[in-house]
Order: sequence, then structure tokens, then C-alpha cells
Amino acid sequence: MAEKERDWVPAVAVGVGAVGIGAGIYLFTRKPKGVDPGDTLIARFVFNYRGEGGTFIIQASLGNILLGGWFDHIDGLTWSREIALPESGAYEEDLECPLPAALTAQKFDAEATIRSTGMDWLDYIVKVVAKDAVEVRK
Amino acid sequence: MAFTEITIIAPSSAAWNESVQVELKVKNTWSSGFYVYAVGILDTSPRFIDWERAWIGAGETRSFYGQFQMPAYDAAINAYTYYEASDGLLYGDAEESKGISIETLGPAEFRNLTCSYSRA
Repeated sequence: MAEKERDWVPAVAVGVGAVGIGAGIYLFTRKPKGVDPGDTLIARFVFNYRGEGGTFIIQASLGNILLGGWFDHIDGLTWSREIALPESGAYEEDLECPLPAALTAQKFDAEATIRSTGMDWLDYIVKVVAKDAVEVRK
Repeated sequence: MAFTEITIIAPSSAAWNESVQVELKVKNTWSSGFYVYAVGILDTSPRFIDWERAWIGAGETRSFYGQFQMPAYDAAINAYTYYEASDGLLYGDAEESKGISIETLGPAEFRNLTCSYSRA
């Protein structure tokens, strides 16, 4: 007796339909790259430290790198917190940066610094700046 | 084409917190004189030569001086010149950079700092 030939058309059609629906949902819900006003931004500091240990301050700022390399800070867009480093080693520290809800959509440059507790907020032991580091969406 | 040439005179290394003297020699390579603005910046800040203005005759060289405190890490001395054109506006002209390395460690040494930003 000849075996009945299996009809693959319905199965393939269902599979293609499911993939299509999944892709549609993904494209519909996908957000563009960036953060929204009111979001909390995480600045992750990764560094190597050598010393006897102590308390330091990590600080992140959003602003603009101006002509000539000057970093222009924006009021309300600087965050900092103390960190305790017990000994020499590799460290990873997160700094929460809650963004104002009234922030307008734009790209920001960013400045990250580490300083000792006695230093002014514009001074630093080490600093790194990044162009177009954060994009705030509409 | 740049109308000026910058030469940075500074030590190649310094100790942490040491006062570093920097001289920017700016030569006018154009066929007539003009006003030049000089800017010297350690890494991206601070500006240790802050928009100093001087007239430099054709073929002449003028020095600009500044100083900064050596940070606790290897850094770069960046120098820029701008010229004042006949329309009264400033135009970026030449730039030069020179590295300066840390000689001795400070009380706390930080290396290889990177910072990434993401949504919480």
C-alpha cells in the first residue's frame, strides 16, 4: 500500500505567518536607541586603582565638548557619589543619573571623573570624555 | 592650508602635582601679518593658555606661555591657533599635541578609566 504523501503547505504557511507576526510585533514595540527624559541613566565606571585605599568620588556630567576641547557642563546634569576602595585592584562602579523629565531631545557629550573627597567638583584625579555618549529621545 | 605653525616646548614627563611650564611658539608662515589667538589645553581641560591674542608679523614667531599642575596620569598638551580675518571673525588654523607622562605615582593612581552609559 502506498504511503499517503504528507501535505507541507499548511505547516509552512503557519510558520511563515508566525514569523511575520513576531517580526511585526518586534518592529512595532522596538524603541529607537537612546534614553527618554525622566529615565535613569547608568554610568558605569571601569578602572584600575593602585593605592592604600580610601574614599573617592565618581562623577558623571552631560554637556557639550566645545571648540578647543573645553567641556561645557549643563546645570542639573551632573551626578556624583562616594565610593570606598579598600585596596589596589580592578573596579567597576555604577552611578545612577536620573534625567530631568523636562529634558529636550538631543545628543549629549559626557564627562566622567574620579576625584578625592577634598577636591572641588571641577577638579579630578582622572577624567574621560566621550562625544555623543548619550542620546535623549523625544 | 594653515597660516601658522605651532611648536610646543614642554617637558616630556613630570611628577604628580608639579607645576609644568609650557611655551607655545607660533610662527606666521603667511606673507603678511595678522592677529593670532593661542589656546593651550591639558587633555580636554583646563585651558592653561586662554585665548591669548597677539599680532605676528610675516615670517615672525611669537611665544605664548602657560602652566598647569601635573595630574596623576599621562596626559596630552593640546595647542590651537586661530587667526582674525579681515571680516573680524576667528578661524581655526593650526593644532599641535604633545604627550606628557607621569614620573612618579601620586597618593592614588587610577588607570584605564572607561565609562559607558546605558538606560537603567
